[in-house]
Amino acid sequence: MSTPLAEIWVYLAATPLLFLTLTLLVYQAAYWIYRRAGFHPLLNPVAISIAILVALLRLTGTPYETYFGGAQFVHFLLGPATVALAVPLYAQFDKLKRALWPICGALLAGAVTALVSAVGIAWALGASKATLLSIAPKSVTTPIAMGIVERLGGLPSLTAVLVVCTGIIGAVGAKYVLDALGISDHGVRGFALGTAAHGIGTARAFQESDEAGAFSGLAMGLCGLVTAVLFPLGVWLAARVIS
Amino acid sequence: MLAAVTVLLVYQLVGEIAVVAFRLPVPGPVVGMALLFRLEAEWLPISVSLVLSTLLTIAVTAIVMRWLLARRHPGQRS
Repeated sequence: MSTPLAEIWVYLAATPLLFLTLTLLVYQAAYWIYRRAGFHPLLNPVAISIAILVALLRLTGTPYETYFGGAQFVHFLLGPATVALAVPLYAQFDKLKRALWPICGALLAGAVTALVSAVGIAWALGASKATLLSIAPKSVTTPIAMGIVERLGGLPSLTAVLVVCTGIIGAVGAKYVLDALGISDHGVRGFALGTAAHGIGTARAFQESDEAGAFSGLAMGLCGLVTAVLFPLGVWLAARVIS
Repeated sequence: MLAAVTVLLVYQLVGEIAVVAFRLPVPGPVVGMALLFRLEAEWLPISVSLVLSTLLTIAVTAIVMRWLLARRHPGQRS
């Protein structure tokens, strides 16, 4: 059974190179589709990439662990990329300083809306307690969301999935919501995206402009911080009220 | 290029050390089966909540920020 093709496959499946290259190629292809479609929000490159990769892994019967052996290098770059958000942020420093109070107000309103509406809607439709705990921090970046949920006894792995879904929904839907509301200021557009849809929203905001991206990156960081404080506090208060 | 990457990684390293030093929340293990079960059992409340809540959050954040900006700089459209 040892055909040359099988030998090549065995070799490739054992090195991280295959799935690292595949991940990058799939994103390039998805971005190409996105660009060819005139940057249509429904063809979000992150969503397309996920769909293609899931299909490929299922077709080849590749376990996620094998895939992640290669994809972990992209995953790792998320760290330095987040640190690098400080650069466009610094370029917008003057505008940020002038908008200090609007930023604080919008942040608080957005973070509370994200938490309360996610839990409220899921609760009204009959979701269980573990799901409510896991869906609450859906708008903040994955490590923070998973960390909070784990400490409060939710399902961190469920949260990871919900956070990514939220990012894609936000990146796809933001343009329609913001255009309908007549929001033209790029700072405001970016800030709303980052608050509601963390890193995937921030990637979307950078496609609009550097200004939108900078405000989105700031919102992503601040929203994570505020949610990490507000959410456990809310759970604690709710437990007090019930008992 | 290499210098820039080095600077980014140094900052990230400092951040990671802070996470460990101050015992900040760190991602936990993956509970695959419980996850799949829940998604299948409760897909409706989960998906409706995700879509509505995310779009609502974008709207509320943008409206509040525009309102506060307009209050701060009267006469300046935002």
